[in-house]
Amino acid sequence: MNQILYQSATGSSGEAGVQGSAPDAARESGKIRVITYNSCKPSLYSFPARREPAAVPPIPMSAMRPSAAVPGFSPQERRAAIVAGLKALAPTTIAIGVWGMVSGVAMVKIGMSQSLALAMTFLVYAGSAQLAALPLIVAGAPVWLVFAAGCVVNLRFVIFAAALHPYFRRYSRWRRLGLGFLTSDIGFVLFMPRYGDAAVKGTPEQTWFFLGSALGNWLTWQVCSVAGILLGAVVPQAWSLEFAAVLALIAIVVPMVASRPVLAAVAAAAVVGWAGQLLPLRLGLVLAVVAGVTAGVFAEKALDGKTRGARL
Amino acid sequence: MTPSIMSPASDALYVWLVIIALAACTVITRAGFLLLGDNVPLPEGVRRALRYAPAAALVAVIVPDLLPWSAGAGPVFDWRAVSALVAIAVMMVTRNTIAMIAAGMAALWLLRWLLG
Repeated sequence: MNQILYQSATGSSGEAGVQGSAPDAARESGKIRVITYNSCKPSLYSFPARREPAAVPPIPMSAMRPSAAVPGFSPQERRAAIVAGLKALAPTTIAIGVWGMVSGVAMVKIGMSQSLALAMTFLVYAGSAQLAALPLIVAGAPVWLVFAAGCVVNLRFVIFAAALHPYFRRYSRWRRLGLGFLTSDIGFVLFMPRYGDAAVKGTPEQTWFFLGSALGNWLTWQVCSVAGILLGAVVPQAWSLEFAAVLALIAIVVPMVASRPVLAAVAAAAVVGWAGQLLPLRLGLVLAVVAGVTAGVFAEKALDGKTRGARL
Repeated sequence: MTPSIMSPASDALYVWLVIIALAACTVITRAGFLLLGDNVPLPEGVRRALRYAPAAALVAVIVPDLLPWSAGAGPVFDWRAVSALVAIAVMMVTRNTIAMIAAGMAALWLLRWLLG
């Protein structure tokens, strides 16, 4: 397993699952991590190695568009790929649905009008960023700070996009934009174990599998989110259903805390975030992120030294 | 996250600006690398550091919501913090988001009903 992933990193293309460019020394010192995609844990994904553009296998022009009739890829195969994506998604639909509904209810419960909540769910389509923005909206935080917080919360998608890039690089700008917009945690987690080691990256089968799971995810999310927006107006305030949104955010963080450096980052961010509440404009948030990243990096260095010392 | 009639959430222009900003976040983070990937060098040190940012940001949003400070009275206690701890315990045992949210809500309702 280790060896296979290592080879794919030193070959024409590296991918998420193997860390960085992979010299033997780094592997021996335990810096290469073999990743299993068993849940949405952004902290588990390493970044892919940089590749030279020349390493892309040549693909015929006829394959540039997934909808075009590609020789060797029939409509039946396309259907099969979409269905495979939907089938892979099926076990997670309840979780996606509950999440969508919680964010729908929460948006209405903080006082947003239903039309604004609908606009947010369709234009933003990012549950964690939406939920993270809600307390900031209630506090009246400046728009640039909400933007910055949303970008930081969404940073994991930069990692996902870096891993998906070899599969989608041959498409036009607009198609890449669309594929990117539809990338979700679950869509990525379903895609990578299936095609992470694929010899050829960017086949129509891969794209249609991705689209099948991504569109299924989108539909489930939006249907439940809209249901939550409609339901939110009916649910009594005394039920405090907006607390479910905070719980949903915690549910993202808990699986992220899979190593001691992340624990250090989270602890530092919690302390600074709590103490920094009296700062204007919710600037405590910015300080907390800086403190968290700093603590994480230092803890990583400190622990690296320790494990190396133990081995020697 | 205590809603009120005068909440900025009811200010349509402000919320629209927030929605546009967040939509930009979605596009930049999800599609940015797909569009520019061949031209953007991400140094290894930066990549490693960035892994800690999402968890830190989420915690920094969550904590003031659970343990708020009011400007005059200092730290305020709320049963939401205890309910969150219950939910975290359930999450660590079951690894199930739905069970976690259900347990957290049940704990909040129970604590408020029993202890005010």
